[in-house]
Amino acid sequence: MKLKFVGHIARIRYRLALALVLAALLPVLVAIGLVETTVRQTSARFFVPEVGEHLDQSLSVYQELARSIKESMQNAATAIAANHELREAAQKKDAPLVRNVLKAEFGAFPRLVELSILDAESHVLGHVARPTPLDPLRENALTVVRSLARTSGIAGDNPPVATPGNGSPTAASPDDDALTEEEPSGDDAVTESRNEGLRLVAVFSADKAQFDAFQNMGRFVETYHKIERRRGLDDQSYVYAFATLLGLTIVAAVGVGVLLARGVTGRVSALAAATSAAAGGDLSVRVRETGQDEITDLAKAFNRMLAEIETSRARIEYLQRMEAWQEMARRLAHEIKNPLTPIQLAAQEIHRRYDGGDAGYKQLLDTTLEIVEDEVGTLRRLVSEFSNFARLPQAELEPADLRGFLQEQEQKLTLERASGGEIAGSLPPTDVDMSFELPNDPAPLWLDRQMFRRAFLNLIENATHALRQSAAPRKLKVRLQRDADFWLLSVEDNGPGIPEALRVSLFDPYVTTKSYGVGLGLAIVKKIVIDHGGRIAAGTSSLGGAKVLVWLPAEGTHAQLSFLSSRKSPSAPSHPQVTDTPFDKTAGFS
Amino acid sequence: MSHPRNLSTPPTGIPKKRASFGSLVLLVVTVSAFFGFVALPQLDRARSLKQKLAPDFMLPVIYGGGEKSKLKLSDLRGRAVLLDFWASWCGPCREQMPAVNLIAQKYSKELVVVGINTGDEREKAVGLLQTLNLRYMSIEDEGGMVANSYGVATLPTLVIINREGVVKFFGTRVMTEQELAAELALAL
Repeated sequence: MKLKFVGHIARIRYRLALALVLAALLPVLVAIGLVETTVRQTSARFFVPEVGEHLDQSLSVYQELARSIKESMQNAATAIAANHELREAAQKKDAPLVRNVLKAEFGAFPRLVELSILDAESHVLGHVARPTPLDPLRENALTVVRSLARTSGIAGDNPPVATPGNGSPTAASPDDDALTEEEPSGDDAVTESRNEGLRLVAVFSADKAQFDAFQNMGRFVETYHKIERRRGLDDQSYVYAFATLLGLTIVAAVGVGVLLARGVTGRVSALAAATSAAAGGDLSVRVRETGQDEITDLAKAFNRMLAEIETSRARIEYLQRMEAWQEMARRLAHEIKNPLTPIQLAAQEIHRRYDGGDAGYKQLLDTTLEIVEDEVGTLRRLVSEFSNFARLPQAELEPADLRGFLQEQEQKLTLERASGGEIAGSLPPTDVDMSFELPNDPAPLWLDRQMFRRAFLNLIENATHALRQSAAPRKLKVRLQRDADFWLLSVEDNGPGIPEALRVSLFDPYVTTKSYGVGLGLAIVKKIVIDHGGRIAAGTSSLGGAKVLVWLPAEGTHAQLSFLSSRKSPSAPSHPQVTDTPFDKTAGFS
Repeated sequence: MSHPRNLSTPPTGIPKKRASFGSLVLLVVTVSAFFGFVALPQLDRARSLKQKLAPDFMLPVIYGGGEKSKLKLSDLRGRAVLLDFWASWCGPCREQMPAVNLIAQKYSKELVVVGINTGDEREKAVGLLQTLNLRYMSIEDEGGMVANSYGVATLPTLVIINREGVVKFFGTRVMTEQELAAELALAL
């Protein structure tokens, strides 16, 4: 549904998105697979089962060592407790003797730190200590308590009582459990009844570095086993993390790719829309020429193509319409012209033949002849205009220089105005400030000099007529400049200007603002301009009056080439010739 | 001894991983597809502005206003606006202008007509405007960003915005004065 909704516009975008997803997905899947294998292999290399076994074995060696150290200390304590002399001295509470015996025993065991004899009330009967106190940084203390039992020769009979002696918290950690033993709480009562509660407390020192190494070893082995147990889970989460990262990358890549491509696809969609509009006959759309890439070129070419089609279609339509008008003008001229002479002759004959004495009738005849000759004269002029319009030949274009042509016209116009020559009547009077603004370089193009002169003079005369209605200072300006592929010729005046409503139809035949004339002047100009592959428009001059703009394709431009090639193809309108009317350059003007 | 000695326990989770891997791929494809087929068209929906609030803009006036002044669309809220996107190289835009000009004259009280010269050269644009002697202002959308935000694909494009700033009409062809007047009557 969604696809249908936007399908037409965004089809390219979907394909692009799909292509991006696929293009990104394939390497990502391969990468995820590779990562999975790599992680698994790497962890397998690190976690060889033998390593764990060896570690456990070395740990048990350490444990054996610790146990043997502890046992030797327990045995030492048992041996001391078994001393008869000591027991007897203790039973007698002979403190000096106890001390002496303890001293003697102390020398026999180098690892001893302290030896004490306690009675049932925990009073110290005797105490011997090493001169240097226990160094908690380097030594661990192991306290062994023994009853001074009679039968204490057997170690197993008297369970050892050991407490961590250095008071450090690490001593209680599970790793040094080789040194700690549960205190046999019930034993005290048993030993007390047999030995009057006399106890030997021996504190031994053990090398702390040794035990620390043992503790670390224990921790390491435990950590190793933990990691080993979690190995599978870890591998999995690495792969997951990697896959998620790559998944996000795909989404981001597709998103960024599609967003970037959006400009292109959007413009392609615009082109497609414009193409279908043009195919439907609407040539009045143009694609926006944004960007600087191939699509911009495509859009420009497309716009140019549309413009050319539009121009040549308009040109053909115009020429066909013109042909119809010309045909009508030709018939009209023919139909009117033929009876004119008989009418005039008949009127003259009646006037000449009458020799009666009726003065009033004679007067009437004079007036009638005058009217008839006047009107016949007007009709002849009209016929001449029509037939001129009908006889418009097709332009015969040849390479020329428009600037040179205009310079020539300027000179001729100046001369005509000064000398009051044949066509001076329709030229601007000498008080009109006529100026030519021409480029410094030649303006090459293809021109039918004779026809274009006629068009140019029509424009000048039109301006002159307009200026007749306005007050001084009267100005007329002719300007030639380059406008892209065209030479732009403009003729401006400061007359009353052209009504806005008339601007579109101004160049159609039989449209005029003047009270006289038939409105063929600008139609002829347009016909000539169209025959030159140009275009004509009317606007408002900065001088305040009318401005007529004529674009003619410049030599060697795209516009000219396309015109020259299209000129051959459409059927050139035929020009029915009306004979025997003298060609009058000013007659076309209305 | 509290050390675990269970070295023989096999690593767990490998078969589970296979299944999750597949679903992961599925997830990525789904997310991408969602993005491509649902999220992107949402972005694209901007193309159809009709009945939506017209995107605001502020552009320099190149004709028919004070020199160096700028026009902000939201400042015109309360009055209907006719936007005419055009360029000097665009023949049909020139054809369109006289009709727009007549509309600008006829509806001068209730309507603000603004020509938006888009992606053009200022000199050419101003030259053309002066030649045509238009009665409505033109502003310059140099990079075509405003045209983009309005989803203008072809020229000329005519946009009618009502007093509330809502786009009521989006025309992509040359229209006559009568057609424009009819659309205005519908929109206002």
